[in-house]
Order: sequence, then C-alpha cells, then structure tokens
Amino acid sequence: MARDFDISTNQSTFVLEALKQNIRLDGRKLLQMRDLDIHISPDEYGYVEVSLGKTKVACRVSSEITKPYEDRPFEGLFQIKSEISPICSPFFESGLTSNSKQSNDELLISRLIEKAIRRSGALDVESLCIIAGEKCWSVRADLQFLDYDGNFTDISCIAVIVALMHYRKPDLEIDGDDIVLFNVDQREPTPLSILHIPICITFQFYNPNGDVENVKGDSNDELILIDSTLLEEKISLGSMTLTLNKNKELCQMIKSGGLNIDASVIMNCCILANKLVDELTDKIQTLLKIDALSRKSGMERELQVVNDR
Amino acid sequence: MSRLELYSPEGIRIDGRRFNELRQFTSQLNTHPNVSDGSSYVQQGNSKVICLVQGPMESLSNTNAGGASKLDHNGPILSININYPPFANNVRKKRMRNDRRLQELCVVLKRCFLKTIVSKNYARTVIEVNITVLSMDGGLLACCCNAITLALIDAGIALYDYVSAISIGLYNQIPLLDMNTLEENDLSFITIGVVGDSDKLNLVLCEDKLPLDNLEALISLGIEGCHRIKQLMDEQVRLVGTDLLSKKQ
Amino acid sequence: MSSININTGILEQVDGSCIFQINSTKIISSVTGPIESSRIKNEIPTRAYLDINIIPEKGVSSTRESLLETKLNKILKPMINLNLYPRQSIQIVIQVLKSGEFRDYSITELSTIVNCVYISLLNSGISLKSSFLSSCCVILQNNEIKLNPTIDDLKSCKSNHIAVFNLKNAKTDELIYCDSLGSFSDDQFFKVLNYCATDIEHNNEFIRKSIANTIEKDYIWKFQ
Repeated sequence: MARDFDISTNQSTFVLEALKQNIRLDGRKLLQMRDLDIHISPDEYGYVEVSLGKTKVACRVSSEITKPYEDRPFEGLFQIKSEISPICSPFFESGLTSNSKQSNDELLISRLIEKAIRRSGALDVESLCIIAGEKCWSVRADLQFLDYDGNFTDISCIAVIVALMHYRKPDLEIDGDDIVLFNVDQREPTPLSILHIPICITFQFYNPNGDVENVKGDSNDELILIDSTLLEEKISLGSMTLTLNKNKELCQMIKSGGLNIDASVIMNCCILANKLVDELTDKIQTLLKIDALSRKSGMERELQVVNDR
Repeated sequence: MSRLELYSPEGIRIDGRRFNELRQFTSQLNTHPNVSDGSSYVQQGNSKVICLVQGPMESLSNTNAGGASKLDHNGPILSININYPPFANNVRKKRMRNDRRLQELCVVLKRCFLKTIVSKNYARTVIEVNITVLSMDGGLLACCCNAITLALIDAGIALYDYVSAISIGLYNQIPLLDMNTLEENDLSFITIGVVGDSDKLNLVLCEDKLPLDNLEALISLGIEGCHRIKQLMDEQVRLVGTDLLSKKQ
Repeated sequence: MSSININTGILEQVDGSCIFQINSTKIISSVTGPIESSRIKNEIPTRAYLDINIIPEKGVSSTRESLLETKLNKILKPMINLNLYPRQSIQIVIQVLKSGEFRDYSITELSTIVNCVYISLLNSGISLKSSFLSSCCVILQNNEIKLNPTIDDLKSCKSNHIAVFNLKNAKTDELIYCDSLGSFSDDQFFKVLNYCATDIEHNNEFIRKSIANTIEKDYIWKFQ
C-alpha cells in the first residue's frame, strides 16, 4: 500500500448523518445510480471507455488464433485481465499481490467479473472454435482502470460486456487445413456471439445505530444504497453484489460478511436490481444500435463513392 | 442433463434423502488440544473438515507478516487459510498454492467472521485460522464456515452468535438442501450463512446461473437448514461444555 | 500534419495526469508524488526514487515494457529535480490506450509517452530542471524523412529514430536522448535530428498554448 486512504471521523459522521436523512453528498437519492456514460471508440472495434460519475474504466477486446486446450477441443479461449494499476488511485499498489486489504479487493473484483461474465457463459466459447482441437479464437478483454471513485465492480462489468458486444473479429474461410483471414476492408468482420448481458449491481449497507445493534437486535432499519462513491464505499458496513440479466436470471451473487441482512431485505434488493438491469440493458442496446448505424452509413458511403466512379 | 437421476419422481434424491433433509452432521470440539487454542472437526455427509485456531495472540506465527505496525487498532486481524490437499477429492488433483477460488473463499470467510467476532475485545491482536479439508463431497464453503464457528467457540473467542452455513441447489424448481458433489456438478446452487436463530444472512454466495424467481424458495429452505445445523452445533458445544465443567469440579 | 489532442488534470485521485493523443496513439499517464516510499529499499537518502510503470494496450507487461520503463527512467532522471525530495518516491504510471503501432516497434509509443509524462509532471507541480519534448521519425526507402510515422511507414522504412530535446526559451537546446534503429548515414542522422528539433519546437507552441489555457482556467480568480 503506497498510501492509505484515511477518512476522518468528522467526515464519516457527516456522511452518515446525511444518509440518515436520505441525502447523499452528490444530491442523489439513496437508490439512484450516477449517470452512466459509455463512449465507444468511433474508429475501431472493441474499445470502450465507460464512466460512472468520476469512476472511469476502459476496456479493449482483442483476438488472435491459437490452439485450444487439449481437454476442451471444441472451445475457444476467453480471458479477462483485470489488474488494478496505481493510475486510478495511489493506494492500489502495482505489481504482485501482497496480503493487504487492497489486494483482497482486487481479488474479489477480478473473481467477480470472471464469474459474472465468463462463468455465466455470456460469451459463447464454442462459437470461437475454428477447427476442433487444432485452431480456435482466443479472445481477451483488457480492463484498464483509470479513475477510482467507488463501485469498480458494476462499471467494469458493463465495460467488458459492452466491449465484447461491440467487438468484431475478422472474417475467415477454411480451405482444407488452411485458414484464410480477411482484412476488415475485404469482408465485413463478424461479431462475437453473446448469449446474454450480465449486469452487476452493488448494494452498500449502513446501520445508523452502529453495527452491534444489528447483530443483537431484530430491527431492520439498515440504510441501503447503490452505486456508492469512494467515500461511501469506505464507510460502508457491508456490501452485496448481484449479477442479473434481462431474462431474470441470477448469474452470480456475493455477500461476504458485513452487516447481517434480513432475507426479505435481500429479496427486495433483488427486485430493485432487476428493474435497474432492465434499464441498463436497454440503454446499452440502444447505444450499440446507434453506433452500428453510424458505421453502416460510413460503409455505404464508401460503396457509393465507388459506384459514382 | 446427466444420466444420473438426481431427483426421482417419488421425491428421493440420489443418496436417498428427501429435498429438505440434511446429510448426517457430526462435529467434535477440542480435537487438537495441544497444538492449537481451539480446534474442531466437522463432518457433513462425506465432507470432512478440520479447523485449528491460534490466538488471539500478539503477532502472526509465520514471519512474513511484518511486526506490530500491521496490527489493527480497532479489532483483530483475522487470517484464514484453507488447505485443500490433493487427496481430498474423488479425483486426485493437485491445486496451486494460490488457487484463486480458494483465496476468494478465504476472503469471504474472513469478512464474514470479522463482523461476528466481538471485535472490540480483540483490538491489536491476531487470530489465525487454518482449515484442512480431509475429504470433500460438496458444500466446501458451508463446511468451512461451520468448522470455524465451532473452533472459535472452542478457542474461547467471543462471538455475537453462531454462524451456520449450508448449500442449497435447484432442480427443476425444487430446492434441494445440503448438496453433495454429484448434485453440485450438475445443478446450480447457492451457499448461505445465517446468524443464530434469526432470519438474517451474513453470507451469500452464488456462482452459477439461477432463475431469480426461485431465489426466495432457496433462501427460505436454506435458513431452515441453517437453524437445524445451529441446533446440532449448539448441542455439541453444550455437551463439551458440561463435560469440561464436570472435569473441573 | 499531425493532430495533437491534450487533456490535463482529468484524474481525481492522483496529483497530475494527462491524456495525450497524437494521430492514432493515445496515452494516459498519472504522476503521484512526492509520496512515502512503499518499500524501504526504495528510500534513497539523497534523492527521490522514480517508480515508473508502463501498462501495455493489451496483454500483460513484458520485456518490451520493461525496456521502455528503463529508457523513460534514463530520460526523466536528469530532467526532474530529484534532490528536492529525499527519501520520497515519485510514482509515474503510464497506460497505453491506443498503441498505433505493432509490438515490434516502440518509437511512436515512447515519444508520446515522454510528451505525456512531461505534461503530467507539469500538472502535478513537481519541480523540473527544464522543459523537454520528444519526436520520432523514419527514413523511408526513397531516403525521405517522415515525421510521425504510421504503421505502414514503420513496416517499410529503412530506419527509425526518436529524439528527446530539452527546451530553452521555446528553442531546442540540448539533445537528451536519441535512439535509432536501422541503417543510415551520418548526414541523414544529423538531418533527422534537425527535423525532430523543428518538429519539437512546432509542437511546443501548441502544447504551451494548451497548458496556458488550462492554467488560466485553474486560476480564473487570479487573472480576473
């Protein structure tokens, strides 16, 4: 840990007192997300920059042809790199993981993205197979964490899935044992086959009366908020991350310790998350549609020029 | 779907249980009185786990974690280690030392117990928990969680309440309590940890796809199962406790 | 002509940051410092320790990034007033967003990194001994010198060059660093250096202007 992120007692009491009155420092409601801004690179495929308030993440998807694993000859490779560099905040240390709390966070984030996207089968790895046991596509998503103001999990999940949906791999033809790869301007590249769109929603829990009361008492007056900022995240007493898709499927769920939360409250969170996921999915899909349209018109314009000649 | 019939039309599971039955749960306390401050042995069906607790003590026994500077002024430093030897599974498989799945489980367990231990009593101390999996037949996280609860009680560390955990799977809309390996391989499941006799969840972990509509049924069955496990653990603790007391007199 | 795009002070958690885009190369860099060294062995009693980290566009850091880090360290060491910050460290992280060249080459990347880090350092307020900027060029098959080469230029060129100059009164002063790969003659080499120097002076005008703009915005209360 190069530098510790310390919060003064004054600051944390202030935030908590405000939360008690349903006020957040940035003027949001407790269950309101910050503005999600997705910037898709206009001149290439598979590079997106996503920002949620001040939190900023970029994701680049790339692919190459390799040999599949011997025990899985019909499947392509898919990797997600999610290393947090000190660029986003000096208290993420570069290099190897030590036994500090920060690297635990990093471990949980990377496992979470792995489970949300890879394990839930969002990318159809079987479609990446070219010749069984011989050749397959290896797709990798490189996450680049740029600025940290809380809620890395949700934003990075969105960044990876949007980049995957946007990416186009070059078209190819199999000629006996040889593979002919086509350039982007020779043949329209093909999109990856994405089976569903998993989206993470992280809830933070607070207890205005302190955490001891929560263990002993039967009351359920915890404060719940989503899309926390760094300050809110640091003083939270517990968090829970749900990953859902539009088909009302739970892809992954983790609540590790923290405040003890009543089962009914958790169910309420699920219902809320479901609604949010619907909204976010629609937003992502319209955005990608707009992007696809703008690209197509560019392509047609080129063809038009050729025709004119 | 596999060729195994995981749940027969008559409502019998592959090992003869009904959907809401636990596997046989046996536990022992103070199994290693000489080498640790608290120890336990938990057996859920064919899953067997040993847990040893050292502490609360001043600093870690292994030298790699620095000196007093790393101690926390507000509570204990909890270090949890899961040792999963190659022979513990059906198929012998060597695990890397830094298996990310196990590391994640360690972090999850650590955060879970940090809030269960009465932390203000143990400021500036270290509690070290070592778990060895002797045999695994499903429910890794649940077994570890139960074993840690018992071992911490044996070590005399103040807890707010028991944390009991169980895994629940889903087979065609039917929730199945306490899964074994065969069921875990084919079905998606969640693990939940419940605090004492309340309905409050301390730990929820789900790694596979699951229809959201069924979650409620799973959790409510899981809470029942956890309460039963808590009862069984409580009986064992009281048994050992009275035994200890009678020896003292 | 090349299109440069500069955006400074975009990151919240670090002391200085900059996004620098030139043609199809886009780099983001952050400077944090002077801060306490994270490891005791990095504490140097007389000067600050430079902790440089380059993260590639895709994949994990390899020897290529290590080499770039070493080169960058060599360039930056004489430019920063390290003696002002004894026992501290200055953390510089560079993330390549768009490489704009194949992995076999690194000149456009390195030259953009140098420019980007320079602006980040200015943004962070760390004391510098002098301004410095970098430029790169290739000598094509027809012996023509081309600044800011594209991917295709790099592939077909005879030799590629990178030069870093320091600046005094908006004029290039001394050569800080140069690196050339390929076959070329003395004459060509000196010509290349001159080309780079003029290019740097040209870019400097633009960079100065945009930095002046941002400072004006930062200190709006002062210039009123």
